[in-house]
Amino acid sequence: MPMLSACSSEKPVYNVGILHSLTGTMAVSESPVVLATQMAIEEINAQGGLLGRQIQPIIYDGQSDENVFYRFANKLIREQNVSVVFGCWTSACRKTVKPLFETNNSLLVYPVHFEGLEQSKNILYVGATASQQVVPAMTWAREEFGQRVLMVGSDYVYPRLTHEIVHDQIELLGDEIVDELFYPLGDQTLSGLKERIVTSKPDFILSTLNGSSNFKFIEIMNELSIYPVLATSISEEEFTGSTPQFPMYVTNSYFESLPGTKNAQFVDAYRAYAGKDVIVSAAVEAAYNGVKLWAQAVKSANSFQINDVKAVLPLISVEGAVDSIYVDINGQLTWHKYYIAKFDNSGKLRLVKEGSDLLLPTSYPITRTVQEWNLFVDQLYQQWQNRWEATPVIEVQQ
Amino acid sequence: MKRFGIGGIFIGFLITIAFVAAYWVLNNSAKQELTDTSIDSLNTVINNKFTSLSQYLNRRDNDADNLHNLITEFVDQRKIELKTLPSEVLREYSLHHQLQNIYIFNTSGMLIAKAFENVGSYTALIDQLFFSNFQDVYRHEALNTLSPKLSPAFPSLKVLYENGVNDNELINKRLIFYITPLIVEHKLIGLTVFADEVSQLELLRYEDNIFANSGRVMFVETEGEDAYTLLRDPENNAKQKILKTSLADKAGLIPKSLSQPSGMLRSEIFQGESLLAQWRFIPALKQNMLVTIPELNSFELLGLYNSIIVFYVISVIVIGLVFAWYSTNSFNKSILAVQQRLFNAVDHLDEEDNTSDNYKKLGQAVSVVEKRIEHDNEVLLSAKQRLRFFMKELEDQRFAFDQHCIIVVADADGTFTDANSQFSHISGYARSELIGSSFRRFGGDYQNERIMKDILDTMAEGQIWQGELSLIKRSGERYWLETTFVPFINEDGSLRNMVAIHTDITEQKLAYSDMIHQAQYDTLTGLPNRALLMDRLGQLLRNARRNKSFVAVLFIDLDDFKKVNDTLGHEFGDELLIEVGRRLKGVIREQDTVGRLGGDEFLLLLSDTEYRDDVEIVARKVIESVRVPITVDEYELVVGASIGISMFPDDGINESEILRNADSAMYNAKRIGRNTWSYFTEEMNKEVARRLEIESWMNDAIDRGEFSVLFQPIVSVNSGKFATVEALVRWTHPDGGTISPDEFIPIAEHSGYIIPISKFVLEQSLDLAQAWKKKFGSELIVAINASPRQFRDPDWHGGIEEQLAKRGLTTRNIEFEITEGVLISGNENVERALQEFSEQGIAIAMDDFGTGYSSLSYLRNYPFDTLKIDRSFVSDIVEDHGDFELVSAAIAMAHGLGLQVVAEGVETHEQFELLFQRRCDYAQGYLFSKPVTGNEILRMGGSLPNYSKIRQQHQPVGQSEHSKSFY
Repeated sequence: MPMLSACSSEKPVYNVGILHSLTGTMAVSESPVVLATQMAIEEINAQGGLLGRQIQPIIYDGQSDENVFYRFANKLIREQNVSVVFGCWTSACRKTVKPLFETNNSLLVYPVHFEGLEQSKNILYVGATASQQVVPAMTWAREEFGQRVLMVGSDYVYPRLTHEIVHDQIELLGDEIVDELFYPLGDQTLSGLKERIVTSKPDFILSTLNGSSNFKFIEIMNELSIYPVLATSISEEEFTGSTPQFPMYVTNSYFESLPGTKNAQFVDAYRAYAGKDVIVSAAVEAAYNGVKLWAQAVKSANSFQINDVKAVLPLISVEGAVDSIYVDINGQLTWHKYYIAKFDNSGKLRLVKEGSDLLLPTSYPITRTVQEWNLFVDQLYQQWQNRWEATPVIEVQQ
Repeated sequence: MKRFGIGGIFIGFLITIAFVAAYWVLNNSAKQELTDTSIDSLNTVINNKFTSLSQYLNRRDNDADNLHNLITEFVDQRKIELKTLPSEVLREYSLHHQLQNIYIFNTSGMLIAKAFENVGSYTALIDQLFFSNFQDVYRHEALNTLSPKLSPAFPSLKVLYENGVNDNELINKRLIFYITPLIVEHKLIGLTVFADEVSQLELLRYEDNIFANSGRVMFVETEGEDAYTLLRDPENNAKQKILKTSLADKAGLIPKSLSQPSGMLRSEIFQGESLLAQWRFIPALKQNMLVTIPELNSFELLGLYNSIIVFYVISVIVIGLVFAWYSTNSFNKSILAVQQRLFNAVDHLDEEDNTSDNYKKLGQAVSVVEKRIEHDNEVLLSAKQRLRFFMKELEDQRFAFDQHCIIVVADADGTFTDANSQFSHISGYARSELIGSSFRRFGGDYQNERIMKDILDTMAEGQIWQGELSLIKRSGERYWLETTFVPFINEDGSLRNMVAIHTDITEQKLAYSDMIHQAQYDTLTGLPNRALLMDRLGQLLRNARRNKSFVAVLFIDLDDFKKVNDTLGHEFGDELLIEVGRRLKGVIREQDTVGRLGGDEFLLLLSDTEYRDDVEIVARKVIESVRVPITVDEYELVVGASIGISMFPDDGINESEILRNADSAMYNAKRIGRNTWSYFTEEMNKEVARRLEIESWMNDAIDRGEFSVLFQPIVSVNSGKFATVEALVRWTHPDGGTISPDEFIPIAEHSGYIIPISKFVLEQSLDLAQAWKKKFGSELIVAINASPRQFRDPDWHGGIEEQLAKRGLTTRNIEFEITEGVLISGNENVERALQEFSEQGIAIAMDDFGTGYSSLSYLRNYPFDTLKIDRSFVSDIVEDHGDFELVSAAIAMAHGLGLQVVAEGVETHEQFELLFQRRCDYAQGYLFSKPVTGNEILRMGGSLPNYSKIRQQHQPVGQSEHSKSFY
């Protein structure tokens, strides 16, 4: 009776890549993302795996260095033959490895909100684009605080491009950018910022500062105390040990303090997995959803083949911790709501504004043509001597 | 012996179980396979629909881009204020791209341009919709994300449901809007809105025939705690209906499908049917798409949809069934043998030394066996019934399948081993002729080495081949088949044979080529239509750009064609167009193109024409050839043609510009005297720009109070008194100064601003009449010019009555002045409206008599009360005897018809004298009074301050008998 015998013979495990910084300046942000990715994979395995196979992650440390990312991405794709890699945080890093995924037809699942102005058939962007996050948040802020804004950001690709988009928006609205400053990544002095704020007296400040510059930024803003700030890249971590003495708002597509039992369950499950006191960031949620989206696509395609998976991506959706996550019909971007939260006196984020609807993802805001945007991005790249960031401040080793 | 007996029973029992199990496994695996196939099919439907949405969005994205570029370009070139710009641009764009339903709203929600032909029953609602906060919402969202938006279908299912709309037409004509912020020079100008009927989108198109009518595509919209589902009416397949479901109850297909963004349900009972359902929420449209298929309704539902897989499944089941039949039969034999042996053993026991214990045990065993046999028999019986059912169903399916498909089976070399009657029927070959023949015998693509190689290679790889084949019938006719080749593979991987399943698509093919022709050629004249002309022009321009050569475009418009159509009828007009088309074809070279743009407009495209002389030769030939009298029925007719010429690259660099400029030149040709040609000049562009400038100023002119109304008395020639004044509108723009009515009225007429302007004039006029009545207690009649467009305004009549009633006035206070232009505009409303006015007591005057066709028949056929002789005749009556005679004749004729006569533009005493002699009833002109304000009219009070002077100079020659007054 051969037809009665169960097909229980062990199928080989299926390898996937995880590529994030576990050391260096980005490790603080990226380590929780790795844990979220692993947690999602383990959940899938516990339910019997995918197409009868257990998923085996191969994890590499990108060491907060694009070149290392490039090397390991190459290794994962070419030597380990993985068809999917969950990875990257900064846009600089993503842009560096992007050609590798395209030439080898592999899939990068990218968990962080980003500026847009990019398209790739080999990247699933699980985070929000500028048009789903910064742009609506700016509309909210101008109505809340006023029409004169000062913008400050780190000098690399995400803040630069985000600011450019905001420039167009401000012009359309007839508002005013009273001043704009960029500091190299890792800059701890932010020299001149305080004076420029005092001189220009903005109605509010848009900050796209990243990483350790935020500590100094908070210090300065605490001294000035009256200026409202809308930030894109700051989390509760930066406030550990200090409470903000100024109105501090953050925009994102997810906060751990969002209501709902589903979210509470997700937060609990993640804390149980990653540690009691960890902060559940939007990237953590997106990383978790990214794995689930990919798994859903594999199931739906009934295949691990990259082209099969890509073909069904436009139909895929998963229930996120708060909002359902839909892949857009182009199969690259995802639908998101925007949220704005304010730091309360205890350094916790409290929701103050929720977007009314899921927003259509668009890579290129309509203020310019795709060609114009791409040209701008290329010029930036050339201006930085073919890098995706200005020369960062090197921390001097003692 | 005993042991063997019992052991045998158990073995028999095991075999039974094994076979029944085998049967069930096979049956279930077939079921599983069917389910998988169903899921695949559902996936395919959803997939296709999403692909179509993506295509739609890309297309509209491009459309919006193109349109915005065009507008930007236009603004750059013309330096025109943007807020009122682009009706012209939009019209041209929509014609060129064959997109009909485009709207542009400015930032305050005003519709500034639209191009639409038919957006179904909801057209009237669109304006309202965008004036309301709908527009605000989308403007806000656009700024909020700097992205285009797609609106949910409008009206919502809830609205349809609540209004009891279940008409397919209305449901299918729901609209979705693709909305893009219009940004020019970094400023938000407004919103561009493309309106599309949902039935034009594959995504939203309601499908009534998926999976051979048993499947469904449903769309679910939620509002509050309720879900509204659009689905096929189970009682009437051709209809749709809307189902309302409360979401308070979490059970049931609809609530379950809304609880997750996407998913699948099996064995879900919906409207009494067990369904397999799959869904996906479409965030862009805020609705859920549900696709369902009845669960295991066997092959029929799949057969037509996915015949290949069904073939496979059928063969799996056939093998399984045959196997199960065979095994159950042989099992029956073996079980009988076991039974026999057992009975034998029991008989034997009776004879031997039987301890009660042994007997008891055996008795128990027997009863167990009996029970088992009984049970097994039941199982077998039900298995048999199921088998019979499946066999019957298989036969039916096979029959149904044969009815629909054209099937051929061939061996690995491509020799037919079987063919069904459908193939014999379509190919014209008998089945006996087919079997044993090679594919190649059947002509067409079956003889095409490349195609056959592709098919055989695909078969050899074990893959399915799909494509269209064109074959030749025995009779020599060509036919088309949509074909799927399926390989059957031996265990060693080699090709055993293959099955070709065809569907006849000949009709679609033929219809398609017809359609292509229709889409590109004008049905009346057989000449290329606008779309093809634009295409060819684009091609010529590209070549010319490459070769640095020249292209000339001749825009030809027949003179007075409208008159021909109106007087002699459309059929006559059509014949005329056909003949003109034929003649135009005769004058051009082979490499040139002539086509019909529409109406009486033709276009000639001449390539490689460097010299204006060459072009002029063609233009002259065109005029000469058109001018030759055309005989239709018993009529012989001479028509003229006016030609506008524009040339690439001097007069424009793209199709639209060249065409636009040729059009302007054509208008110039008409103006300078018809039956001639004119080259495009920059001056013409300036005129267009001036027109647009005026149009843009007109936007707020009424609100800003830039218009005023002056009144000119119409004086009784006998008494010198007046009880009628003509209302004349004046416009002073703060920057543009005084703009003459001759200049702005045609533009207002064209753009539609004439409606609010006319309303303003009416109100001012009636205010005066009211004040007059209050002051003098008598009635003042105000003569107001009526425009052609007002006759199409459904609110016109009601508005007049309302305005009169408000002021305590009657219809006697109004007289409408109508030019011949209105009558020949061919507007069918005109006659009815004039009749109604006349019945209501509103007097009607024929204005500017003598400038148009001065047709007597108009005077006879319409209910005129007054004839106004144009100033151009009056001004010359003293010097020009001919004019004097004409005016005299007109007066006599009008009196003959019972009309009163007003002479316009009376400026001198001599003119007045002559009119007096000829018994003209009334006169109007500077001699008596220039147009003055309403207050001035009130001050005059019906008497002219200077009339005594006029009278003194000209004593009337005898008092006229003809001294009718207006009352």
